[in-house]
Amino acid sequence: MVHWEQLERILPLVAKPGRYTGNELNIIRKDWAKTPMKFALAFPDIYDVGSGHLGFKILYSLLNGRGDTLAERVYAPWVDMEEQLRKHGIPLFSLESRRGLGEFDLVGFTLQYELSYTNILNMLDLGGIPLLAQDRDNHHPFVVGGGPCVFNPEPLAEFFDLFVIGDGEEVVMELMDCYSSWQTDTGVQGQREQFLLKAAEIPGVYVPAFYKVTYLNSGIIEQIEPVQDTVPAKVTKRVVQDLDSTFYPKEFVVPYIETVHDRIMLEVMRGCTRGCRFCQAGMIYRPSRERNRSTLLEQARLLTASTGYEEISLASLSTSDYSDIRNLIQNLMAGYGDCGIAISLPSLRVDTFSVGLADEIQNQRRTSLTFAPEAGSQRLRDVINKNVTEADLFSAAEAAFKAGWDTIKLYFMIGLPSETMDDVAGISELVQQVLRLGRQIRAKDGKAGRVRVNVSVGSFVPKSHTPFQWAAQMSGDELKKRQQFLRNQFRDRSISFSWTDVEQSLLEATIARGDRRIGKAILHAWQNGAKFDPWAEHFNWQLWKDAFSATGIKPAFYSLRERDLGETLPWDHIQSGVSKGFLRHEWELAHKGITTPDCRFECSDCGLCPELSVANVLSGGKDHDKD
Amino acid sequence: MIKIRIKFTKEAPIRFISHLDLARTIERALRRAQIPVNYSEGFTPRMKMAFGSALAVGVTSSGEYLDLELDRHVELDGFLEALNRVLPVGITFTEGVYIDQDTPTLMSIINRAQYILTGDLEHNADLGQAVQSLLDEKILSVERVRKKRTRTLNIRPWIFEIDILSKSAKTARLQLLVQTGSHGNVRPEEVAEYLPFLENSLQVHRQGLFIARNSSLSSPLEVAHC
Repeated sequence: MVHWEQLERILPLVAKPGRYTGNELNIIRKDWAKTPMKFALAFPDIYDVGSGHLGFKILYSLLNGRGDTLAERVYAPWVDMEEQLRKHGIPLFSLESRRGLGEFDLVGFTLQYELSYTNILNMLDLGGIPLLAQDRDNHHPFVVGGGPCVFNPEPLAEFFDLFVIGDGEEVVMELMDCYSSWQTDTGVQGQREQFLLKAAEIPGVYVPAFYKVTYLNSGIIEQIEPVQDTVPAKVTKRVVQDLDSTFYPKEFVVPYIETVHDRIMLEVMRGCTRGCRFCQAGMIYRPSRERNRSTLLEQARLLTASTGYEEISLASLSTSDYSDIRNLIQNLMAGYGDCGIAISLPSLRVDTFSVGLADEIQNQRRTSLTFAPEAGSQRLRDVINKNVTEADLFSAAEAAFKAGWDTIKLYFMIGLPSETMDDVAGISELVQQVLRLGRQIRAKDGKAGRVRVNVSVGSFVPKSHTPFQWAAQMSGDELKKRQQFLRNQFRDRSISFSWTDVEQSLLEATIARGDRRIGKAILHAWQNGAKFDPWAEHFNWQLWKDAFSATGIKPAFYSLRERDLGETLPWDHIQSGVSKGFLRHEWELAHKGITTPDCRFECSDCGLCPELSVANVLSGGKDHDKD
Repeated sequence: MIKIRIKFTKEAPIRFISHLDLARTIERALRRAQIPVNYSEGFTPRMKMAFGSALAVGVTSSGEYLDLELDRHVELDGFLEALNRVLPVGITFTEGVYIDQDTPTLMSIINRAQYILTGDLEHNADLGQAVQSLLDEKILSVERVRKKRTRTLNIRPWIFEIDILSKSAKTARLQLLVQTGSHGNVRPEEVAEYLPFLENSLQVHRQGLFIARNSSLSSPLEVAHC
């Protein structure tokens, strides 16, 4: 255990010590000695970034709700704190009981983005846990992974004991039951493999050590096969079908220091039916399941009372698609508008309906509205199945400017499959037209000068389990050329332009579709100092280039190569429920520029609902008329 | 319009949070306790709340103050009890009084701060001698950086008392009374710079904030009584 007196000495020496002190409102601290199972919820980034993560809020309350389990939070220390921990021989510790990471039975990491992987290694190291699963023994925890990136867990296969694929609410409880039997059964206790074998029988649990990967001379995977009889050849993700009655926390831990997403989040729905071909979340979180308005209002009542937060955010992949959104917003406004609590919509569909929703939320400063047309031409938007037209964008922008907004944020991608410079020029034209439109409208109040368009352009990274999983990433030179072109286009002072780092995108693409061999490079990069890779001030491309060459890995093989439709993909044994045949069909339709409709209105035969015996769930509201 | 003046503490477990964090934490507690606080007008309504003096990160205190504007009358004991039930560990509202609408703000009247400094002493240090020679000085210069500009200030006129409360070979406790507020401000660490404490060993506790008038000190609650 790390003593407070020890900490008090080092905390004055680090930035934002409130990251490490714990003791926030609504934390749960159980009796360490008397609680048999101890679970660390480990977020591989700093507290400021991780504490708002909804998945961990759910698991924290859920696990601590069990009498036999305690769950505590652990975040990556910032570099100044890491220096102090290492200098004083203090292990990375949990915020509740201040126990070293290595003292837990299970350490669960959430894999939110590929660039966080070196932080995972760093945290294991700081916690005194051997990095490789095969080096762990009875004294060490089991290292568990969950979250979106587990849909291709292979680059981390050697570091993790097991992965949990899909919605966590049910499977994590089954995993704890399994651990409890193993812990108390004198016949098997202490034998790690016995636990892993039992765990691997739980649907949705993947134990990488029980699978063998063989490669062809070309470097392409020959096959991925289980080496134990009892483990499934393919692991299928878990789905919580009845989201409405699924556990949701009544309390959130309320941080003291300023953090990302520091507010009440109501998860109005999980999953998205739009079927954008680049979007991994849209594929892996299927089917779309809405919560009932009455359930959400009750959650709002409990959470406002227990947290005192000043903001309620309606979270989902596409909140304006929630079919009872109007009534929900009106009810929340009526219930909380007078108590200094604001309502916020994180993601707006590109249409006037959504602007209308934002407009209904009174008392809200008209700072900016964000739309994501994603691509600059209708042709390319059809390729990626982003069912948004130029007319949609202009009418949405017009409605926003008329309602008093001065700033519109537009999000686009470059490097999409089949993209040409014409499509990129289309981005520039759209932006200029939105700016002109805004000036025209705001000129009526004499406020044309206030109009701003903030343009954010990301580089497309092909992801597993999407129709673009076979696509080649665009080369760094091409991406840079496009960024330069757009920089030249956006000279107007009323346009602000931001873009993502090309090298970070290249790395992300390599890991996102990597196989087990990539793990060696991640280890090498970490050993040479790579960490906090999502942070521009820490990202060091040279370290990674060295790591790839030292481990004999050619990043282009993973990122820049268009994959053959017949080849075995590193994640073929992980099933999202969406059939590979559907993804292939969508990839072909993309080539032809043919769109696929929203599957709430017309089933697109992705295979998921029959395969997993699930279905889209609408809450019964009436706001889902087809645009 | 109804105004309440509150005395509260900031204790060890949360001493590492900043003043802004503390303010947000108290706002959220007020909302949890469903206290009828008034909000400012405008697009981003804020609670009408004003603090006496910001406490530096790392410093604990047993005497902080804030004024709060309420929409309606509340029963004071019940108010303090309701808040203490929902306040996080480390903050306690200890006293409250109703104040007149035109009572001068805390910021404008508070001009003294009393601190307790605890720390490890350097080897063979003579603390008594160090305190005496500090007090004998006419000028004690400190440098402060603000908006990238460094200013040199003499803090000696703002140091009123230094008392050694206890002392052993290794550690010592001092009590310090200094000027605070807009007409001059002393940070306890600046005084400690002139004393033989070991680096990083100093813990600072604010005993209280006061109003000095005619050579006597009164608490912000006393002057506010109506």
